[in-house]
Formats: sequence, C-alpha cells, structure tokens
Amino acid sequence: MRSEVLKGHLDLILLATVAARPAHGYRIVEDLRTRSAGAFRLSEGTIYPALYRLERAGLLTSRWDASGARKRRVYRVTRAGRRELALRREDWQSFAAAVEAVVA
Amino acid sequence: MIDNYLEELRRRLPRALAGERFVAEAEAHLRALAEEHGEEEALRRFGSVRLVVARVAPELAAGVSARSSRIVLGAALLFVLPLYVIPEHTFPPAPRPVPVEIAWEHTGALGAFVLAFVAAASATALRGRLRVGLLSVAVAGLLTSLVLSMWVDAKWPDYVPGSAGEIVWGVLVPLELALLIAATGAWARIPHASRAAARL
Repeated sequence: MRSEVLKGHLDLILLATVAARPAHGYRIVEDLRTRSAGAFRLSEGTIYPALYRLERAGLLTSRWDASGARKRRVYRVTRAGRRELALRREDWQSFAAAVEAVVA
Repeated sequence: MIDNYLEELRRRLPRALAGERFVAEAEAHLRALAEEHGEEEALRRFGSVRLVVARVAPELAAGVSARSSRIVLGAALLFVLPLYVIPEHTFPPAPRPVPVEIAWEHTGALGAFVLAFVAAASATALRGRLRVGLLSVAVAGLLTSLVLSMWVDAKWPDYVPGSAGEIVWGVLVPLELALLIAATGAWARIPHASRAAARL
C-alpha cells in the first residue's frame, strides 16, 4: 500500500491497534503488520513521532515496563483516546462506505 | 552496527530536546528486531538516522516547548503565594497599604509578574518561535518580579511598624532566594531547549 495513503489514516490505525492491546513500539508495528495481512509496512523508526504526537494530545499514555528481559516503553489508550477512536472510526466507516459506493 | 547507529542517533538529536527516551526506545526496538531478522535487516527496517531524526525531532521539540510553557506558567502561579498573598495579607499588622517608600518597587514587581503570567499563559497556546519569545519574556518577567519582591520584603519591616522581621528574614527572603535560583536555572535551560526546538 502506498505510504501516503497510510499516512492520512495513521492516527486512527495506531489508536485502533493500541486499543486492541497495550504494546511497545516493536509490538505495535508487528500487530499492524499482522492485522493488515502485511499491507501496512511502515519504516519502523517513523512510527514513534506519531506515538509521541498522540501521547502529547492526551490520546495515548506510556510508561517503562521492566518486567521482561528488556526495558520497554508500553503505550496504552487513554479514556480520551477511546472517545477519539470511536469518533474517527465512525468517520472512517462513513467515508469508506461513500468511496465504495462511488468506486464499486 | 546497532551501537554505531544509536551513537549516531544520539549525536544528531540536540541534547536540549531530551532525546534519551527516544534513543532508549529505538534501542529496545532494534534489539528485538535484530533477534528475529539480524542487525542489518533491523537497521534497514528502522530507517536511516537522517530520516528518523528528521521525523522525530519536531515531535520532541513540540513536547519540550509545551512542557517548558507549563513549567513557567506553574512557576508564575507559585510565586503569587509567597511573594504577595502571604506578606501583604498575613503578616501583622496586615492588611495595610503598601508604604509609599517602596511603592514603585511593589508596583514594578506586580507589573513584571503580570507580564510574566500573561506571556507564560500565551506561550502554552502557541508553537514555534513565538512561543520561544514569549517564554523568554515570561522568565525575564519572573526574575525581575523576584528581585523587586525581595527588595520589597527586605524593606517591609523598616516601613511597616509591627511587622514580623524574623519571618521576613527567616522564611520569606530565603524562600525567594531559592525561587530566584530556580528561576535563574530555568532562564539558562528552558529558553535554550526551546531555541533548539524552534530551530528544527
């Protein structure tokens, strides 16, 4: 999939992925790849600016987790993030249905 | 290879942006990737240092300047209590008008404080160079306000009969001195960090 198409929906995709289960950056990228059946292939280092932006907006929160062999920063969706995700999901569904009606 | 990559990342991210968190996250990510795919593939997937820095630095910068604005605003609010509310309304024989001998210093301190507060509050709502300028004004205003306030408090017992000089010299002035040192530290650090942010 073209990266510019993905970029326009990156926040929605990241919120949905982290809402499904709290995860660190590496796991988020893996989950994205798995859930999209390999369609979403981002340059992995570029996922962090989006995570930081969402965190600054109060939609995600993060903290270090040292329970495993390696210390990792785990991201979770906040209550505001869940509300935003619900709104964006609705918008996306309306948009996708409209595009489908025109293109199909 | 990963160590060199991380070193390059550290070198390219301005220190003032506090990029340590990102470097630590990048390291955990790269090591996990390398375990499954090898170091070369891990670095290829993560992206070149130049690309990664170009995308991460603006986000770190936005975070730093937003934090700086909140810190300065918080400091401005913190100054109100020890510098104005307590001395003028609590110390005996309070409440009483400000003595004319220290009236201009008192007005100057209040004016500088209001300027600092408005600048800091505005900075929280803005981004980029304008925010940096407002932050500098806010910190300068706080320093001015503090110096004038220390003068007012030090002179207060001389002009207000019945004032508790021991409280002024034992509590207020040391507290103001501590705040002055903290504000000077902020003067040195916050604008520097914000300037680094604005350059990106």
